[in-house]
Amino acid sequence: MIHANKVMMLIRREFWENRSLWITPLVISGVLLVSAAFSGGPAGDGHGGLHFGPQVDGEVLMNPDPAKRDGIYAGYIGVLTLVQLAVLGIVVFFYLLDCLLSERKDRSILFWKSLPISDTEVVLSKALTALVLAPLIVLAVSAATQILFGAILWLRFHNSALGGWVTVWNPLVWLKVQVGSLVLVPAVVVWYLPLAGYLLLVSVWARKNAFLWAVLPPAAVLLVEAMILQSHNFADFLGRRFAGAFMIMDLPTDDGQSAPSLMVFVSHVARVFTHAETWLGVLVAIGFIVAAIRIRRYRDDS
Amino acid sequence: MTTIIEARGLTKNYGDTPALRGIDLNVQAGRIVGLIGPNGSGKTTAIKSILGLTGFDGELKVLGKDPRTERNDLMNEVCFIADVAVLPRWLKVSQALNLVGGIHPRFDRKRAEDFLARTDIRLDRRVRQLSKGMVTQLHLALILAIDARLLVLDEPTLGLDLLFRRSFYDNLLNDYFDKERTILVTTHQVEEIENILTDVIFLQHGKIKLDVAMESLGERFTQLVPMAGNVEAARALKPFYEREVFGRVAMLFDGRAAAELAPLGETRAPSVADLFVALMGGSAADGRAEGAGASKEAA
Repeated sequence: MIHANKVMMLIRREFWENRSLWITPLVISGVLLVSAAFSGGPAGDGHGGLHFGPQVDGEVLMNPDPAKRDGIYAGYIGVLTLVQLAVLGIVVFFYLLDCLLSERKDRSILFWKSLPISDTEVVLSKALTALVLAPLIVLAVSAATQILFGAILWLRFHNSALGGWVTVWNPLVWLKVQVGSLVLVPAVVVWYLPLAGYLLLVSVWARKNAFLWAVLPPAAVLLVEAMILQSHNFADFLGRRFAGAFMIMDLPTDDGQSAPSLMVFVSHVARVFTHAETWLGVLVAIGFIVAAIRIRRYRDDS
Repeated sequence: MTTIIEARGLTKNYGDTPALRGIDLNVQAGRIVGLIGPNGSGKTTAIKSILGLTGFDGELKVLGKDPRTERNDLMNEVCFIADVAVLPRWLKVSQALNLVGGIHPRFDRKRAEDFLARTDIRLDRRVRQLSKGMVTQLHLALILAIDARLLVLDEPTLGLDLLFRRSFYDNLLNDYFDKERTILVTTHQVEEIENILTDVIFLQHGKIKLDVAMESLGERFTQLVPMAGNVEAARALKPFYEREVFGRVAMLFDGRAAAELAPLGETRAPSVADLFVALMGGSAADGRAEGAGASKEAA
């Protein structure tokens, strides 16, 4: 039986211990905004501008089509979220690897085990922290960052010649980007669930060096297969596990001329949810997580 | 009387090494039981079995529940302090109160706060900023505020100085213990807790060497220091242990009335520490300790 209130408390505890989960997005947001405030314009001659957006050439800027200019703006603020999500991936990777090992390293597991909380509640709280709460925080920070970013652009450029040509603030575009993110993130999370489950399993099993335990076995399989069988099936499999979601989405490429409309974007992203491979991965992930819960029951380093 | 812990043939092996060789336990409500034994005697394994932290063979019921399968229910009514070092070092004192309050249905936050107010511990401190003694006080504050039926303490005062050790046990008796509650405590420092115990259990090599209530300890065991001419007469009564102190011999008897021994010299009730040395001394002790009445009766 799982008590929701206990799981909520345990999730709060995860953010007390792992402050990087909420400090990192704030720091990144700060860096992005400072660079937006002090760098060159978002286009001009195409050099020395804000480099984290799609490349915009002068021709597009001269194009009076408002839809295209909005598309460029959506690309700019969408990239702010993508930067955050890329860093989140790294933070969550190390969080999951460490979360069930560190409690044994510092022996605090004996304190946690003295409380009426089940192994299921503990492991679930860690999985929910990494896969639901941390992404939600990043999306919230990103949404706020994009508004501030728009405000900075507006302040800098609304009176200049550029202001007439590029969108410097458009609430409707902002809203569309939020909707797009809220669809994209769950699709990516669901796709990566087996990896998350694998990391939890390594974390609960390893006595130290969780990173090596996570990386070396697959690396060894890669090497052995390449040397003995001279094939690369496992490499293909890993590649598919990492990039598969984006291959399935097959998002229309953004050539800077026209960004995909929200409907098109969402319909492409939603392909992940209807793909059998996604749900096969979910089943594997459930297996990993159940195994992690079982192992934590009697895991003891003392 | 309610039975709190009942074990029959409790056995645990780590690979080929036996940690517990079939022990029987019966702990009643309202007792303070000292589980005493040298390192490797099986104390910690026994406690881990009772807390459902390890698997085992044999029968064991704690509050009527099997710790292997009903641990989640059991922990609502059982508390434990494993060692001074287990509170997470990043935890703030205020967070600790929120946390246990949010998780434990039987936690009385006011009680914990009142206890902390009597210490030097500030709510905004993290565990890593507290001294070892203060960490133990904090842990004790959390535990004392939980209305649990069984409290298990495994070397709770390890590494603390005498003042903290003394106040730890004083607090335990004054603020926690009552007829409904049961405490099981392991320690190396026998002499410090013997006056609070109601029962002692000696463990050696995974077996129970002695299991006796303190109130019957004095009736069952007698220490005799015979007068110079009476040593041989005293030996004829089969002491299970003897040692020489300042040229005089001290003997321990099991099951001899003090009145029977009194004509031979000075008698008194042995302390738990005396018994511990006599029964557990092993090779250091006189050969008479082996096969003595005490171990036969306990087995």
